[in-house]
Amino acid sequence: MAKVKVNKEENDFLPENPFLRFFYHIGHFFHKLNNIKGLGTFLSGFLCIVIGLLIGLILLVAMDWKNSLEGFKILLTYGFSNTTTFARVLYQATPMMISGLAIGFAFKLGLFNIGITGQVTAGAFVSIIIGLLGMPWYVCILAAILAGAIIGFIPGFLKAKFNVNEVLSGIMLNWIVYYIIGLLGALVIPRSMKDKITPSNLNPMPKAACLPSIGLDNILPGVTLGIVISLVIIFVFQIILNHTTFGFELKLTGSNRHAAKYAGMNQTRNIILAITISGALAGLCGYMTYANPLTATRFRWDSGNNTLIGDGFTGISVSLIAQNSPIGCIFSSLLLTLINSSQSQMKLASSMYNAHFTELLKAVIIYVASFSSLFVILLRKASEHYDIKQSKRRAIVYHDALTEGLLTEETSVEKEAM
Amino acid sequence: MFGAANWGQLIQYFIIYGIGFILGAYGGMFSECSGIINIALEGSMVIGAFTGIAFMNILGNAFAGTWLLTSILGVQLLFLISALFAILCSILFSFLLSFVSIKFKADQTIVGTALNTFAIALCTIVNTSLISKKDSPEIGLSQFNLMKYLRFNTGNTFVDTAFSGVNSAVVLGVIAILVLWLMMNKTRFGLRLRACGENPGAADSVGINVNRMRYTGTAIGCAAAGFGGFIIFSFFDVFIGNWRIDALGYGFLVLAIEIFGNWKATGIIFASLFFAFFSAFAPTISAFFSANAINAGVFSQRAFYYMLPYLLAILSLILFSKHSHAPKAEGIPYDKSSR
Repeated sequence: MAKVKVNKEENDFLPENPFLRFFYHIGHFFHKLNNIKGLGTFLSGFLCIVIGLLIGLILLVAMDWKNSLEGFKILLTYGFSNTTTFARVLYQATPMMISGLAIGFAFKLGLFNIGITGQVTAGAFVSIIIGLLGMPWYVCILAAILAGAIIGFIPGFLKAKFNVNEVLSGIMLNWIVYYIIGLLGALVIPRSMKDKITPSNLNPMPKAACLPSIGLDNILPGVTLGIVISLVIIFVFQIILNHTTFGFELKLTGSNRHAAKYAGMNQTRNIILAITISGALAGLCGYMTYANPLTATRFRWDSGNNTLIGDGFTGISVSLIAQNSPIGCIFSSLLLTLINSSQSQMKLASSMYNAHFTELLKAVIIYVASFSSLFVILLRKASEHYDIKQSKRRAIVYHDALTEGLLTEETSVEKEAM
Repeated sequence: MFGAANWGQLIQYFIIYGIGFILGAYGGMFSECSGIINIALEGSMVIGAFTGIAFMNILGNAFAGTWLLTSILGVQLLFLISALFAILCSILFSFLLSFVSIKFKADQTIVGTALNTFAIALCTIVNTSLISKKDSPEIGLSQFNLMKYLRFNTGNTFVDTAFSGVNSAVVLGVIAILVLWLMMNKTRFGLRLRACGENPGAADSVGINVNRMRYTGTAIGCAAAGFGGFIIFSFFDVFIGNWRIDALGYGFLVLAIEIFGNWKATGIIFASLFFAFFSAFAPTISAFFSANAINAGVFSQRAFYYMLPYLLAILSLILFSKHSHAPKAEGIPYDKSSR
């Protein structure tokens, strides 16, 4: 009898408004899941994607409402429409997840490695030159990593030793690397390495220097060893960040610099090491971007158009959507390439949709990502609020029940133990 | 020889870049001094430049044949109106940054990065599907020809070339720089703004509305950056022949200038002029070398001259950065309960 009464009372302190009631239930659900590690990251990432896509749908409706559903369908499913496009999504995501990891790794320490573009460019340029000299692919990878690490080391060193803002030195280095390659291309690189028709491009990476296949060429053309390497690296970094002293030091320095200093952690070393590793990853991304045997992307050494290559900046988006989690980078890079792959197809749905729509969508997703963690915090707060109210109410009910003699002391203790 | 015409062109570029960079960097300064990191300067410049240029084209088509288009005075008036429109749009754009940063306590670096992409994509989409209705997003002020400029006929080649890029928007830009400088250094508003970036708790305790100051600071910042973008891009017409509408990384350059100028109004002017000089010097000297077919190894390469300002900046940063001092509360959302 008492039990029935308690349950009936329990629902009374949920808000009357069905809308609010719904959110209370969701909040409670999240509160129960609260203890699972990494769930907050996952949820905020998921939320920002859902909200971003919804806003994208609204934009599609605003542009041309008749074909909006068709367009939205293409946007989400074109990447899966056949094995060729799916393979493209996979191999384009490979370098992106590495660049996302590079950004996210430096972010853990609170450093914004905006110099990633320069590191990617250096890695790509050096590895292509090494490849054109006839070296095998693993030498190219090492060269790319080394080049990226050297370019990454500079802002880290300047930050640690001379207090130079890493955003500033990163931006400067992007352009310095870009123009140094322009100089090298004009003065040092022999004519034989340049493209015959457009000499402002380098020759594509020779087959021996490209990423080797893993026997999937017939099913998923273009998917190479690169994806295996990327996944392994991401898992290794996940372990480094969460299960080693170094990872702990990085995260602590990122979240509270003074506490880390007080605990005797070597900040100079950590700053330099973090950006250098980030740069090494960026260099690898540069190699992978130009080393796919299926698509021979040409590297433009000529700095004539004064435009940096954009592969590094995509890494920023990848990492931001993944909330800087290494594992999250896998999914966010896949999502971004999925959206990218529909770029040319959107036009078929309606003439009002153009190729830049996907860029807009990406921007909206990142924009929402910047405050999506707030939603998760709000949901948690709501659920905590709900919990506190509930326990208070329960105490009153028990008290009433006890005084009315409906419950004995024993049963109430039993209930609390539950 | 590097003659009067070359020097004139150098000064012409220098004026345009200088005013654009100072305005852009002031944009960063105003928002960062109020406590909001503004990575979205690139986006603001794109928005300002695009809306201004597009609005001027629309006005140009609407008033075709009237005195507004046939006389220099009319075109200069159009320029002023378009510049004001660009400023207005940039202010609207700024609320995308300040609103989520203040209300939702968003990570400002991320918001800024998103807004840069957003601005580029939005402008390209609006232009390709609504204004130019072509696949390539070409938009420029070519229909106004030389009417764009206030021309001087002194007979002196140097003076004539040097000031041939000046128009009413540029004049307004100089006035804006003066006003912004005074605002930051000589008024109560500037002092309060900086207080909000240094110690918002203290500012709040003496009755300053921190969040309102931050909204205002970001709005002024984006407006200045957008206006700077309009001045630079209306002169160089770079939106023609590009596959998308973007600010060529100038937004990041002014960010660097702002840090280089140590978040101070006077320091930023010198830093801007330094970069403006080299940005003007590089195209002038490389055009001069290629026109005269001079080959001097590294020194005749255009890449070398474009690289020079960045290289010098890094070297001087190493020397001066020990004293670099960013606004303390920059990037931290203000929370009343933390006071």
